[in-house]
Amino acid sequence: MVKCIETGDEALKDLFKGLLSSGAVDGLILPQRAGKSVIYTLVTDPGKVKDPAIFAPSFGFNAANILRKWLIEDKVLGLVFKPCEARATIELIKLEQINPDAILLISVDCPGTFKNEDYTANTDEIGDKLTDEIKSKLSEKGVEVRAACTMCETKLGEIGDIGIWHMGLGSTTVVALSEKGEAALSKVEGITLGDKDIDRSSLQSEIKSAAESGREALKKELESLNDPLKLLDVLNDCIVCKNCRDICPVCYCKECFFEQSLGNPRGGDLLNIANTRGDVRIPPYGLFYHLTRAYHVCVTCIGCGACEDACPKGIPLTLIYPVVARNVQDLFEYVPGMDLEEPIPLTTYQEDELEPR
Amino acid sequence: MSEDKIGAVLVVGAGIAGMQSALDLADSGFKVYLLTEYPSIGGYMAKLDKTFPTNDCAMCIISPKLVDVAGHPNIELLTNCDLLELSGEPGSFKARIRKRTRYVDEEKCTGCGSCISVCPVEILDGFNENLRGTKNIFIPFPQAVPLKATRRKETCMGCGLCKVVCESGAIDFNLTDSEITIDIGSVVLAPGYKTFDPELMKEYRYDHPDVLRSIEFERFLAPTGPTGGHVIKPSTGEEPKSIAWIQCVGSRNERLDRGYCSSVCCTYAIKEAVIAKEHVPDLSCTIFYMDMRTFGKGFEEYYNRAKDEYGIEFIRCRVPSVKVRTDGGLFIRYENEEGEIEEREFDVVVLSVGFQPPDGNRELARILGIDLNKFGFCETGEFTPLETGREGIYVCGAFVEPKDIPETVAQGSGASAKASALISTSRHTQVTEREFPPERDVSGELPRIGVFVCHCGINIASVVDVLAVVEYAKTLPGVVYAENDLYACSQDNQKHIQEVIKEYNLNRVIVASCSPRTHEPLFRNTCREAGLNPYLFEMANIRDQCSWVHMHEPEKATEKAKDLVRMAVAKANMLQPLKTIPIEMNHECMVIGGGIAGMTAASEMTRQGYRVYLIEKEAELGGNLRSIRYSLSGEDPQELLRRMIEEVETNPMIEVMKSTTIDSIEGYIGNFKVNLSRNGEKREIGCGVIIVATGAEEYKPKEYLYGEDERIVTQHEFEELMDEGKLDLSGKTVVMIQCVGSREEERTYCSRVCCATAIKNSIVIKENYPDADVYILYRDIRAYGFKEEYYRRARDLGVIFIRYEKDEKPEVTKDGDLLKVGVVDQLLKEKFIIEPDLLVLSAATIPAADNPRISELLKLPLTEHGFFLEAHAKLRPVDFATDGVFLCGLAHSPKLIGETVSQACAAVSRACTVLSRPFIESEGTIAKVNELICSGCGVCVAACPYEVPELVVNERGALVARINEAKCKGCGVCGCGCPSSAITMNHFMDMQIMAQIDAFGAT
Repeated sequence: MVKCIETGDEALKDLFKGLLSSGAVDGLILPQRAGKSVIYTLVTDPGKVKDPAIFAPSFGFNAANILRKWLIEDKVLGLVFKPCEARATIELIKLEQINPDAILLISVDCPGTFKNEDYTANTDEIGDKLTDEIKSKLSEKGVEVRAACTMCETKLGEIGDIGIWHMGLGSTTVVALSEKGEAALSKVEGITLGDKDIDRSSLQSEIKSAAESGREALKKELESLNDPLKLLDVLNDCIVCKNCRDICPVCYCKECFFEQSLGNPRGGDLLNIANTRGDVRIPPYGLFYHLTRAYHVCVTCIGCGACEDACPKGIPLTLIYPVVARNVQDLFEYVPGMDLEEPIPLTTYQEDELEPR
Repeated sequence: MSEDKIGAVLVVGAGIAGMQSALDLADSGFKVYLLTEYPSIGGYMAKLDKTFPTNDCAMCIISPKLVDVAGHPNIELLTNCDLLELSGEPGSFKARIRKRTRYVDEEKCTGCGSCISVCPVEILDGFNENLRGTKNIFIPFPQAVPLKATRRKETCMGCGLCKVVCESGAIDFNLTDSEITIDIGSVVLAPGYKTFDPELMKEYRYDHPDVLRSIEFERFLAPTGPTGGHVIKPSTGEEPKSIAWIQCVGSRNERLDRGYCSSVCCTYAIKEAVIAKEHVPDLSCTIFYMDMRTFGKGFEEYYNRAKDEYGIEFIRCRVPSVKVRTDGGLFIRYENEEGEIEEREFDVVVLSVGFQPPDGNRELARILGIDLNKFGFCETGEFTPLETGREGIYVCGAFVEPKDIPETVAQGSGASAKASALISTSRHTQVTEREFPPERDVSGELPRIGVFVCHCGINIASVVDVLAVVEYAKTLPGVVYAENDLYACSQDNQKHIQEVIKEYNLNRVIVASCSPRTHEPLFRNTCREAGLNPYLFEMANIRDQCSWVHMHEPEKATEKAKDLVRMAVAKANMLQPLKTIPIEMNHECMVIGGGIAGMTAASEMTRQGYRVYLIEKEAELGGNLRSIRYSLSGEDPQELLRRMIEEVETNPMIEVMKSTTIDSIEGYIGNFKVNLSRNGEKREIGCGVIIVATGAEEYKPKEYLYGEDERIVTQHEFEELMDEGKLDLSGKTVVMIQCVGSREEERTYCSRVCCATAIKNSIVIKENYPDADVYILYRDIRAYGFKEEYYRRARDLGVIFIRYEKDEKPEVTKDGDLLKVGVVDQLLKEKFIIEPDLLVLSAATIPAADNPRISELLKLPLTEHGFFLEAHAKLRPVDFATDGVFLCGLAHSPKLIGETVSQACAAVSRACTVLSRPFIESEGTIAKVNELICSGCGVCVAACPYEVPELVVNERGALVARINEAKCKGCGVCGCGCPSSAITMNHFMDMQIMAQIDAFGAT
């Protein structure tokens, strides 16, 4: 039994306006349509809620990325997020980077996304909501859903305070997922929540089995990198621009080690390193950078694949980050971004956590 | 009693007991004279190969203590000395001492050994139990303290070659014995023991070369022994195929006036068998024994492992005899459990010889005016094991009663507390602060690294080509000096390293040897002595991590040693001097638990001059002692209880807090904050040290119909009923069942006290009701030490002992109103039915239910059984890994009252080494947060096992982690967890580790 209201798509605009005008939130991060593209806006004026595009299957970056250091105490930001964005938000709360009292987390159903440039180029064909039919049509044109989405198991907007659902339902439905969500919705004029039985468990198992086969395919691809030299082959093209780090929603350091002098050697330091080894690659530390990053994010990576999209050199970073991370998370039986109370494995220790080896 | 007490103590005997006592006293602000008749300190422990039950190398763990004693500014060594006379009174004694000359000037001798190499006269090597020769001028063992040569006048032929080669001119044949008189406030006796001479028992054929005393076999196992650690059959020099151990040789033998058990032989025989099997994997090891007395902490499990994992064979029989075949071969004739005579051949027979009092015990007793017991050990009370009966003279170790190393160490500390309590008002009056030369400022200098590569005798040098490593080290960047040392850790070598530091103006020092765990403090001090900041020292572990693990691949091991040295050099190039910070401290003590352990600790603490909070969760003090109504020797435990309660409750320096629970404990050594609740009332107290004396409980049996019939009781319940006159056992039958809940699968340990308790209570019954029948059903009677005497007395009084097997337990049934106990007698192989009027169960001692909570509050580890886990099973029995927290009594493991008292005094002594300091010094190796980089994510907060980091909003309004310098243990977990490198682990900085990694990858 859930507390919810069937709104349909049209009334959603009023809901967002209502959240702002009722003071339930002080601002709203909301994807909106801009020409053929989808952009994110931080809206404080209800009048600026013009053309929300919350289900549009376009992925440019993970919007939780801009929430790092959202530690403000007396304001509440409403976040209309895809599940992967909502999950990143929850990890950042665990890592003290977001004040949980300063957000209202709204997650929406997301059947999968295209790269935003692919979406922009095919806006008319794709439309507002992705279906299997559209997927195969685009596939024929050589436009594929992002690799990370093919292994995503959390496509349903069931994370956070409020869910906005359409998958498996006749009409778009707004669901209160927490008391906080319920309180926020009740402030909005024209919204009256009712109790309803919605069972999407069979949908969830379909998603899960599709994701599992997606993941198997990616794991097969990963096998080809399962050797330091082969990994290096792929990373040889890396220019260490660190875009993958900057765009990663769970890479939260104020100053990255690879910006500090030890991680970013220059001038004489570089010569010293060359002297010990005989040679040093320039820019330095490509492999070291990726291994360090993989180690840092492997338990908190929510698998959005923003890193791969951000790479200007087309390196298959979904394999190096989300796929590897998922393998590590399985070891610790940890699912990042699902439960605020579940501690990050790095911060806990159990004698048998790696048994059997 | 003298008014002006002298803040100095004479410790007689320099084995592990005397050394521990001396170190505690010296660390607590007293001057110590450590006297031994031998040329070196170290005692028996220095001769042992490994130690049970952890199989730690004895020399490896005693060697840092040897060095600590040697280098302690408050300890004056009186080796090769005899105590001649003690006069004066408690608090102000005078001791007259004879210094027997070594014919070597100790000031001049460097211990270089040149004299030894040229001496033409071979004598038997006493340190190696006369199994090989040494020279007439000798140093007993490489780590000897002091490392000085000694000449034996009697056997010297006077050729003078030694004098010719001695470059320091230390040898002088005209030196004579001298006498000194010292002023001391109290005396600690730790003269140790001697092992039994089996020549006295011809049936063991000790005249045969392949029959060895256990201490001789110990030397065969030791890498520094006569065969370099190879187990041989002495008559042929070949590897033996079978070895037998015969237990109780010279123990439990009334005929030889040794009617006591030597307490340690069972476990040491197991250890020797296990280690021998590690040396010779297909060796057959057999132990012939009467009762297997593995009663110590972790011993029963050790025994089980020996049986199950190592395949050691245990044969229970009356003491067998050794026979020699006509061809010289050995065989053992024994009566098996079926009562048949059997014979078995063995290549080697080891006699597990017992302890006896040291030679000169009677003379010592005469000089000191103390009493000896009938066996010649020091006479002490059952509840006062550290007291000689003469005030100002205290005793510890095997001279009290045969005992193992941890108990000896605890008593060493305990006697130190007793000896210092008497003179506590004179603390710090006879000592001088250890002063180091001012630190040289090395900032701005290019690294000048010295590398010292250790042979560790043959430990490293027999595998690794040490000279090749030295030559290689010389080629590494920053290295200006490299050399090899036979023992880098020897006392003389410390002076040598200091000289080299000065001569070559070194500003970084590397020792490539063993583990920093044991030896880093020593070498750091050596650097300090030479004016270098101690953190400019680095170690490369080329023994534990190289020669020991690659002993069959010497070439590769040498290459690895070079790698390790190269990495150490790379790090040394990056080392930075670090400072320690003095922190104010609280000089009060909190004792948790008001049983006999806690009350003794509290009372002794005040005698040292420190205030105590004594916390008891129950409404009454006394703990388990409340149920103990009888003792073996006839002393009254309830009188002890009344006396102790009165003492702590009227002592103005003790605040007794009953019905009080601990809600939280924060802080660290020197500055603990404790929140308490008493009937809902909250209170915060502060203290500098904490003693954990939380006790244990008597197991409530689930077996043998306990709880279903009021005639079935535990030993505690029996004592209460008996004492309160509620039992009339005249003409009645009493059965006692041992090991109820102990030595089982779910509780594998031996509860230690139950055998003595059953014997004690059976004697009580027999003395009160001679016509009562008492049966004790047992698995092994563990009447260790002098308790053997009471075992015999119980048998003489007619108590019947029937042995049962673990898988053939007694059966208790009820037939109407009749209790029936069925037991299969293992001697007669017959089932008996006894119909007892009272069934007394010797229930296990189980850890206090509160232990997990206390362990959580203080972050202390528990053993698998739920007792507290001490810092080191052998040498730190009452310490925790957490500084400033100490352990005593049943919270540690089951033990008797006297043992608890010893441990409580030990905990006090250890606590005084902290409280006697004016302030606490923080470590240099601690974590620091760079708040500019810190993201405040809290990974360090969650990761720290000591809960040190906390998230705070700093002056710039940023949420950042803070690390308290005094609390930080320097483990480095936070630094590993921090993704931003915002945490710098001093001495393990990223750049230092990266330099090491780079060096590892370099060629």
